[in-house]
Amino acid sequence: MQRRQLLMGGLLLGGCAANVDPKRPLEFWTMQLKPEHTVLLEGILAKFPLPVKWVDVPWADMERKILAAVAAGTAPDVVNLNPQFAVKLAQRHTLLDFGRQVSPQEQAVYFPNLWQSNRLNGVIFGVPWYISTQITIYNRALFQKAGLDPNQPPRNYQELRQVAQVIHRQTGKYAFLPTFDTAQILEAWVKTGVQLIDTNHQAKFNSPAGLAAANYWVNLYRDQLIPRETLTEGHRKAVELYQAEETALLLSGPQFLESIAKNAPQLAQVTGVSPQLTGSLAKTNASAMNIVVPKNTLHAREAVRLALFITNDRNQLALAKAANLLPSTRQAAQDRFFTAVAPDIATTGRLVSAQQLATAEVLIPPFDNLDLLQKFIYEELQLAMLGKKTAAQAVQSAADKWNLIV
Amino acid sequence: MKPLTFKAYAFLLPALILLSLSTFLPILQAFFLSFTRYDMLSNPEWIGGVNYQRLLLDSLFWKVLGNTLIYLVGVVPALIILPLGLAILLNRPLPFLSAYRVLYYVPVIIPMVIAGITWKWVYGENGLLNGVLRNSHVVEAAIPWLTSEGAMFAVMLVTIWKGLGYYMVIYLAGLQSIPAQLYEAAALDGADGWRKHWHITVPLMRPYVLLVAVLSSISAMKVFEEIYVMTRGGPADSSKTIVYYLYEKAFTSLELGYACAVGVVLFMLLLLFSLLNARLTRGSQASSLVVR
Repeated sequence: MQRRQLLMGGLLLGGCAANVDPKRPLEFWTMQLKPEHTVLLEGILAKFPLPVKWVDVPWADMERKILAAVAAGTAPDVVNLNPQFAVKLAQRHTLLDFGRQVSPQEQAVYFPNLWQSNRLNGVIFGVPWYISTQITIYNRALFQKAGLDPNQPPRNYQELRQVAQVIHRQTGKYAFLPTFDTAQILEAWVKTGVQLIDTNHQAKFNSPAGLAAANYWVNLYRDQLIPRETLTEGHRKAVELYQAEETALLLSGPQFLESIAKNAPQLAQVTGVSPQLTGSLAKTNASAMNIVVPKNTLHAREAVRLALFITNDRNQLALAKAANLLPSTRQAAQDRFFTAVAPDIATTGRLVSAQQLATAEVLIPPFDNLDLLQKFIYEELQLAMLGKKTAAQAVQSAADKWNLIV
Repeated sequence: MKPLTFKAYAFLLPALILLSLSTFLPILQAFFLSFTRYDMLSNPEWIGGVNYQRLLLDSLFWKVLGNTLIYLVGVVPALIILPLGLAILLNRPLPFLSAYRVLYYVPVIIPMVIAGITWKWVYGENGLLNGVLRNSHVVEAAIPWLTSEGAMFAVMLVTIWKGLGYYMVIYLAGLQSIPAQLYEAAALDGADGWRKHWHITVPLMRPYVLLVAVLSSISAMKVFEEIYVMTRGGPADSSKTIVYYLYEKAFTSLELGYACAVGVVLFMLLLLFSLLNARLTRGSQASSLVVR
């Protein structure tokens, strides 16, 4: 209680609460954290010195809801968004610049690469919250059935293709489902040395490396090494197929290991984890969830304080422990929780994911119309998969579309 | 104004106000926004007819318009004929008649999202349909129902399955309004089952057939949920329809001005159907009166 009063006093002394209507709580929106983390987050928010109204929005509805709210001038004070959504708002200058609102000391709490990954046109549009580095989750029993060594999962995309061939040939099942509703394929392109755009924002992926990357994915489809559903399904289906033992690998964050253990306990017993697949650049990718503050909030300072409060070491650690995620602050990441070894698969997955954190980076930093670039590339890639175009035509066509809007 | 007329207008006013706020005003707004560049987050910028010029040159717009017309042609005849046949079958004293009627109506009350997800499982590469076809040796390899360029036809079947019961009820209402004496008289004249249907049921059901034709056409032009849940317009835009395209432009690309232009074109097409309906229904009512 004393601590809470001190915090409240600090805010008042700083003049922060001068224009706050005490009856109107700060509004904070999150992306699908209820009901799993209701108690935890309510506990965290109760410790903030100002009243906070927490609204949890389903993942699929967030983009439309936040856009409508910002357009109508009724946006919440603080919002949890992923970088793709946040970029859309940031490029339209609707988010507060944390670079101006947060002192260098406060910035130094976070991993510098993650802090900088939220920079767009010179503006830091959000504070990094929890992060996830993709790992390779695989079915050891299915590997064994296919005659593969279950202790030798694929380490890179070339090995992944070889594994996919063997699994399909020996078991009739697929290795994995690539997801067109995430940046997974685009990140794989970058990992294999494809430069997406140049300094003038012109397309750079229409290069030999880009063509090789496109051919890789197109050939996986044409050689029937990935499910046909790749064209219309997404990450949710990838998890479903893995849980149904229809695929041998799941390329995803460690947080999904808990749901695998819950939904398919027998599968969890034979599930192994290994580091993220790499390409020729030997880089690993990290994806961060952000907290942003819409510019038209009436309580900018308080909203920034709330964003920093939610993402401080203590609170990030609590959430990371509960959700099997990784924190974006340096001190929290040092906690023994992330280095402890235990026999269960969730802990092992977290350990593998945490070990990657030191070298992981956001491989596709935000830039204007990033979502459109991904859309153009994916659309053309699908046409090539369906045999409507060659991979070379698809890559060139995507580049032409991009250059046209640039 | 006569007191009675005034009273009538006074009673109509609340509904008119609500309709104005929820329908007429947004229509006018959409019409205005179709002449602007607007992304929801900044003020609309007047650009004249640029969005409409862009529509003419937008190959994807023409593709989705074509897809929508294919959808219309594929779905509407089936939704006119099949429910009529079903209604004729269920308009006679059969054992468990009510149970049959309920069973055919059940798909109507299932939310489209649930129906769509369930049908995705049925259509899946390892789904029920492919399983049955493979096990009965009809096909060797799985048919890519939703993952080939023919995905729209698979979605059409779901629309037909879901609409059957609804239109069947409309037809049943129509069938039950046909006086039994007409059939009795025809039987006395020696007419058999088919001739009775051809000379009595079909002409007297004409207003209902037209109603179903118009309702199902409008519904097919506006198809969205099935596409959103089952294919997201893919693969490679092959099942993208005009309303899905509008949604994508408005809420994914944030090109609201352009989306409004697409919406205005859709509105004009729907208006055309409605006018056609008004004209045809007027004629049919007159002719049905003559028959009676």
